[in-house]
Amino acid sequence: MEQNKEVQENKLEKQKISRNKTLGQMTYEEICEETLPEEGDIWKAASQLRPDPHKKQESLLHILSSIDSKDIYSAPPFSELLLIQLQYLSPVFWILQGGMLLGLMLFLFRLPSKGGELTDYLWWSSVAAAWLGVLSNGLLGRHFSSGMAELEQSCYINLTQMWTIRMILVTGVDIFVLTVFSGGIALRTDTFFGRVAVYLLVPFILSNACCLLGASAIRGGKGKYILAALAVLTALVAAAPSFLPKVYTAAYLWVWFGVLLLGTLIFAGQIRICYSRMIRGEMVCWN
Amino acid sequence: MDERQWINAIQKGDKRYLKDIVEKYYDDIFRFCVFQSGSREDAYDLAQETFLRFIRYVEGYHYRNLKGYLLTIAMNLCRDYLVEKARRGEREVSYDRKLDRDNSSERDSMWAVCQSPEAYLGRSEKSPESEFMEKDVHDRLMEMLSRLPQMQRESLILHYLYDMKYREIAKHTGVTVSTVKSRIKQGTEKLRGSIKREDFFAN
Repeated sequence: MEQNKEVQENKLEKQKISRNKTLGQMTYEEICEETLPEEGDIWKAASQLRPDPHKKQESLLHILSSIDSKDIYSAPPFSELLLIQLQYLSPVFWILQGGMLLGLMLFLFRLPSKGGELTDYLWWSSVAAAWLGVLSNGLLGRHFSSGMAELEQSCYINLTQMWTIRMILVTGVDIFVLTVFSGGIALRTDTFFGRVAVYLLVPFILSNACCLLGASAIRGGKGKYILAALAVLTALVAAAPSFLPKVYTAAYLWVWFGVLLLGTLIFAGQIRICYSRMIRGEMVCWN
Repeated sequence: MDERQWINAIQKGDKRYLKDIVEKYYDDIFRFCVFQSGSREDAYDLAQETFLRFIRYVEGYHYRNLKGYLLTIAMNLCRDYLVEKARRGEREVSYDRKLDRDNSSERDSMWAVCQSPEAYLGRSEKSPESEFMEKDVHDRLMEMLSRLPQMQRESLILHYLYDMKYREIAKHTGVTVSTVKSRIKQGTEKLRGSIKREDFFAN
């Protein structure tokens, strides 16, 4: 503190001396030595730079005219988009999903708490998993029903964005239900959770792939009948392995993984085709 | 209303807050453009273009640090400007110092600054003389800064003029904190050298 005070006093003294001198009596070096400005002072001076009021006004006028002609397109954040789409999910979807979860939970509790065979659980839970896929795609397929795509596109709704969000929502619900099933079955049969999950994911993915194809290819009022037929077909296919219990043994697990991978690839390919059709505008019929 | 609320309101279609933002930050952005580009005249265009770009893309802006965001736009514009100038075969920065420097008046003004630094700092009322001195200080700083490499100049201005931390500068300029430290250290040393040796009081 004292040192600073001393420095300050010296500085003031030097300034005092310099004020008493005339310019002619001082050399250039003397002036620089005595009164060299601090860097901080220079930046402080720099911070006081102001634009010329007239030129600033001109520049502001340009900016203000740009503001006036600006059309702001409201872009809600992703979380808000999720909430918006959530409220447009059909009540039937929720009722059917809830009903399926409730029914399967009841069914799960009716079976013996311990010691039940894995296949006892898997045949009906596989059918349920397949139906979850049918239900989800039925909801997504509404976008492709006659007139809907045209309406959505013509109302400037971003169909791909809407479709993505709905897919995330319905798949999220499906995955939740499947996780509950898999967890319940794994607990009751003392089987590894991942193994049960693979057994249930296979019918789920395959039914998704099958129904997405149906929902996007078939447009018009007959879509629901087609979906009903697909529900029966996928249920039969999903239940079929139960008639060959040995396919649920550990030795065949690699086959299940292979089918799961194949089904995922087919499903991803179909999603890609759907998106490219939407982006190219093939879904739009302006008539 | 804070800035975050302004941005929310703008993104919902309330354009009047855009004007508030422009009014609030115009001087800051202009000042940055002056010292970065080295041209007062071009700084008006650069500041204007900064706000036009902000307005153009305001819908997609996620609020974090508005001033920092505007400075980043200005910084990119200044970089493009300097590259364009260099491409045109001019010096990277050409300063339009048009002051007719007479030795005696130069020394007089220097004398006045030396006698009383507060004469050009924080005055409420500016005499023509003090305005001249202030402009002179700014011109000299611009000239000294112009001798620094562009990246060092950028970091120095953001650090000293806008009190940005190393971390913030690193984020805005897209380099590491140690690079920023090194740029500021080297730039400061060069600037200090210029001030001490000749430049700040040179004729």
